[in-house]
Amino acid sequence: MKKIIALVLCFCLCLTVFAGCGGNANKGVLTIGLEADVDNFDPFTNQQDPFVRFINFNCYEALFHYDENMQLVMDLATSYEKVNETTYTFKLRENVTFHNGEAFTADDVIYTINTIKDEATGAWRSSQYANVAEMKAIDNYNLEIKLSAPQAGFIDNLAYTAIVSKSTTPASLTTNPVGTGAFKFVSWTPNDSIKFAKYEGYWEADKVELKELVFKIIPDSTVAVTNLKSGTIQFLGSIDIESANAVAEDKNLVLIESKSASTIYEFEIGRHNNSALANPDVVKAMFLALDKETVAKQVFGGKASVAKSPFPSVSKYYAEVDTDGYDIEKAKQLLSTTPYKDGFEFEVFVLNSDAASQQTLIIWQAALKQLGINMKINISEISVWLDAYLNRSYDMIANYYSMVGTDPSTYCSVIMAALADYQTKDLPELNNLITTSANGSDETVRANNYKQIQEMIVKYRPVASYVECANINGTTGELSGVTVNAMGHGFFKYATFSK
Amino acid sequence: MNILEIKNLTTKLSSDRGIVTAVDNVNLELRKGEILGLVGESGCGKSMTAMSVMRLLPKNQSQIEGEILFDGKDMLKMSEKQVNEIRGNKIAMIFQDVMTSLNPLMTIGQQIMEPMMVHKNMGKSQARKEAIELLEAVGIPMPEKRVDEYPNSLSGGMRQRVMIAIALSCTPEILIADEPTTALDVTIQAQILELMKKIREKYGTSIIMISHDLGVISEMCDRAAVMYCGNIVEQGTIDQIFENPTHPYTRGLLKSIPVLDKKVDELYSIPGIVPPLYDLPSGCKFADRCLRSCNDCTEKLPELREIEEGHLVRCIGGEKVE
Amino acid sequence: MRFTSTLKYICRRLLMSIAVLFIVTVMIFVIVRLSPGDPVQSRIGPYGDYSAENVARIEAEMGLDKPLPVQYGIWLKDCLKGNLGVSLRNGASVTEIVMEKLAVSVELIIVSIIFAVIISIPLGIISGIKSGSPIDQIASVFSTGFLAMPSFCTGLLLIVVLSVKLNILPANGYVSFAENPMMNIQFLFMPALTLGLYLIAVLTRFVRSETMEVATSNYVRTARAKGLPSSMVNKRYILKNITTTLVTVVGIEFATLLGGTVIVEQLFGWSGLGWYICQSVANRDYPAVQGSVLVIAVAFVLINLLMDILYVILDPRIELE
Repeated sequence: MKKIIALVLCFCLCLTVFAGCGGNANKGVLTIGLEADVDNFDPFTNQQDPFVRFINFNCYEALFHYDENMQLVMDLATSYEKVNETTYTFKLRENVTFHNGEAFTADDVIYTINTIKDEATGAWRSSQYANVAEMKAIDNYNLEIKLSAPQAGFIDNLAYTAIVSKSTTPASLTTNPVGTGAFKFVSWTPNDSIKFAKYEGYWEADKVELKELVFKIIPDSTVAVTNLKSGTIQFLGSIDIESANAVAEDKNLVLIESKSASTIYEFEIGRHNNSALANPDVVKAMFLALDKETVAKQVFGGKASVAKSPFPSVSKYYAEVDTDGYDIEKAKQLLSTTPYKDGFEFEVFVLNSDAASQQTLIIWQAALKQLGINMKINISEISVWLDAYLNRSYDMIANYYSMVGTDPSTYCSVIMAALADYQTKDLPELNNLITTSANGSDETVRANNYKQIQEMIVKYRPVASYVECANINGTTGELSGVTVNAMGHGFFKYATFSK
Repeated sequence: MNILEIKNLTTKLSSDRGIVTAVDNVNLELRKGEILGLVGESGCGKSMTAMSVMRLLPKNQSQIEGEILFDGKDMLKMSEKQVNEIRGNKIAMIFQDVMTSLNPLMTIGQQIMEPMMVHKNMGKSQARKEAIELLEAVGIPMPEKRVDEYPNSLSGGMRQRVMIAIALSCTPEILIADEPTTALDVTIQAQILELMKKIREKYGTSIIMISHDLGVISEMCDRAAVMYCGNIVEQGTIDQIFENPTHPYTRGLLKSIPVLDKKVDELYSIPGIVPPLYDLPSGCKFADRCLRSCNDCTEKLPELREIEEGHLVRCIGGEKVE
Repeated sequence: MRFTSTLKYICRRLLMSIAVLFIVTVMIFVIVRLSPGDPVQSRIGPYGDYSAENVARIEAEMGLDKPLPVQYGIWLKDCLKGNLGVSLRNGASVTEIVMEKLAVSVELIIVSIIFAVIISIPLGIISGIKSGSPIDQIASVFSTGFLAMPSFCTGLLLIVVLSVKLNILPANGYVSFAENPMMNIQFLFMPALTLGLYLIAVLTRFVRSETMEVATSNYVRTARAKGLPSSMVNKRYILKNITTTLVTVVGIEFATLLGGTVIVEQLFGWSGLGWYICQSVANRDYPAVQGSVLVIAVAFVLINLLMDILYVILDPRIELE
């Protein structure tokens, strides 16, 4: 008995000692919550969201980037000119140094692009630069690039390509990133935190108020929001709807939303695996049974809008070709005209971390039951999902895709091209259009082609997009100066804390 | 001279079936230097009587009334501390289940030394010397070695001897032995009983011997009391009880003992069964099994009446019957 | 006499443990490769370069191009030298990472256990001896409550009260003791309390039932019949006799918690072994999973060995043959 009283007293004593040692944010240090750790800091191979969205463009820089209004902002380039369909010239910024002290010149850009093109690097952008035929450094700050064929998305691609120093190798960058960005790498404790400090030699260092940029890995969203509330972290990127609601309710916190929708939620349909799903009328009926408005309102908390095309609405050549909407009766009627009027069964894979898709599937599952269609939902962990995705061995799989660039050729090359041997194998016309339009130059021809592509995708639905949503981030009230563009990339160099 | 007087002792226990009276208005006297036997079947209240005297029953489940006079003072009115000073010191008890009655994680020596160190304030080295002597006195060979051993290295007979050594360590005036030999082999039984007789001779200890074994009782005791369903039904000297058993229950018990030289087809047993304590009949509790009961028996519980000097019986009928 | 036989016993147990560990290495090596998906896919991601050359290059880099028995042999040989391999995700030394995370988990577990033992032993004994009394009933409600409430809830409750509302403690984080003892304790308080409360619930119930059993035993009756004061009876007869089984429960809890503190770790931002294993499994990072599981298996075996030795020391009834 006495022991227990003694312990309680100890407890109280300890509490008084700790009083005042709570979550005070050190001024000048911005702590950001990441939902997963990065594997490495190599911009050539790393496609992970946490890296691409929040680390890539604060440690490294590209020639330019798109801001939240989809306007091009110059970084390492000061201007560019499209001389003709296949030639571009770039004027580069002078007096810029890398974190290791090396001066930035046109040779570094050439080195970066060559490394991407090199097969041995395994860069995921390598197909985007396949057309680069010749690069010439006119002098240290003037660069000319010649393509072998016109490529509409070329400038877009450059906007997201980090420039590295020719004195580094991709292997060295995996654990020791060296870029020209405002923040220099300090340390990495795997699964715990990543630390950056202000790079005093940055080309506009006088505009950078932060002293340190720290990333804390907090996998669980509830825990992350709690940390945001208590001020242990001041910025939480790419949060889900529930967390967004929690943040919105708290008067001390602020939500930052990207002005345009950047993430498309979709289902990729294994037409080649399931004869029912290969029937366009069946898929149309199924999609008619999905109440997309409700999904956008309930599942996405109103922060999404119904997708009217497989492409995001900010895309070039976007056309509202998906007008089916929601009509259960029409769905039933349409299904009855097909050989599958008595219903059938199929399975859909969804990532265990993808709450939004799971909830959408539940709504859809109930609706499909009315049509006699049995949907089995398979909630899988990342490796299982990835395995199914890469082998296209699914009936249906839930995915979401954040667009990179405004030119739809990127979407087509990343999502659609991979399906050519699988669910779009029986659609040679579609695949042809996709290949030819990537590098065309005639605007009218391209607009027409992409309109056809969108229509065909909607007709056969190898990929069925249902909503597009904005990118949402949460911050504490004292933080300002952080911008997030439509792709969800965060730029922290102008971040500051107000009192 | 009476060293212990138990007057109107009634012990009620709470059980799942309500409150049962395990000891019903028991009166007993223990004379100095005598061996008094308490006989009866299991559940008749003999152990409960002893436990009541030693105050070993859980307080929240038992209710004891009456008087237990020891050394002129009523033990039932004493505090826990005062009772502790008597237990193990002036009144000691040994139990039936020897195999589980010793602390398996303390040496035998430690367990014998404990009462001496607590009650007599003895130092460790002296207590240890005494312990070795006690072990020798109770007949354990190589006591200097045994004193550091743990109970698990001893047989049943040895353990009971150790229990006796513990009980004797403070030279108590009274030793209560609750079925001390029931769990032991017959040969060991004889040794233990011999030991106890020697103790009475040497130290003048008064002993209460509790047993269901009439043979043990007849061999050890000077006087005995027979108990049935919480009551004493017959009480007297050994000669009186064994040669002139008067209560039908006592007679039944004696009749049940098989005789070595007589061959029978069926062993005799008292007809009927012992009634459960929560469902006792009114009047004489033995009436429904008694061959000589009549209507008056069930009206009220008979009083103990003296049929010859020192011989008491709780029965309204039959004096000397064949 | 007993000393030499104890030594022989320990040697025998050690040999058996080594055999067990060997089986564990085979099992974990095989099992982790049986699940769908693989580290190459994990590394390249959904939209990466799946050309045959790139895949082959990465496979060779990860050492996965060799036949399975060869891979196992290489790994086992390295393990015996103390090298658990290299993480397939970020190339870091698995030995370093696992040891670091083990230290984190172990610190949390040990402090929680000590805290829990200090409270649950007296609480359990009192409850057991005075079973049915108000103390016992309160302790019972408390125990059942914390057993039923998942550690996630307890932890979050503590964070909300102590960190968000009262701002006394930081919500999450970890700093090693060597680096900054004061901060380490601040960060340690809530997770240890969360885990400790759960352990108290488990241990108290257990101590209580053991105490009840011992308290009604015959040797306790003998002790009382000897007129020993209750404090002496409680210490020498009751406490001493529940120690063996207490050692068992604590040992098992410790071993179970080694990989099982994932939730508390995640909640408080403690980068421990549990969470590391979860992530490594999700990433199909074979060496990381193998290394972590092996380390836990070794720890488990050592704890069991320690418990067995403690039994032999504590309880003279235990046979050595």
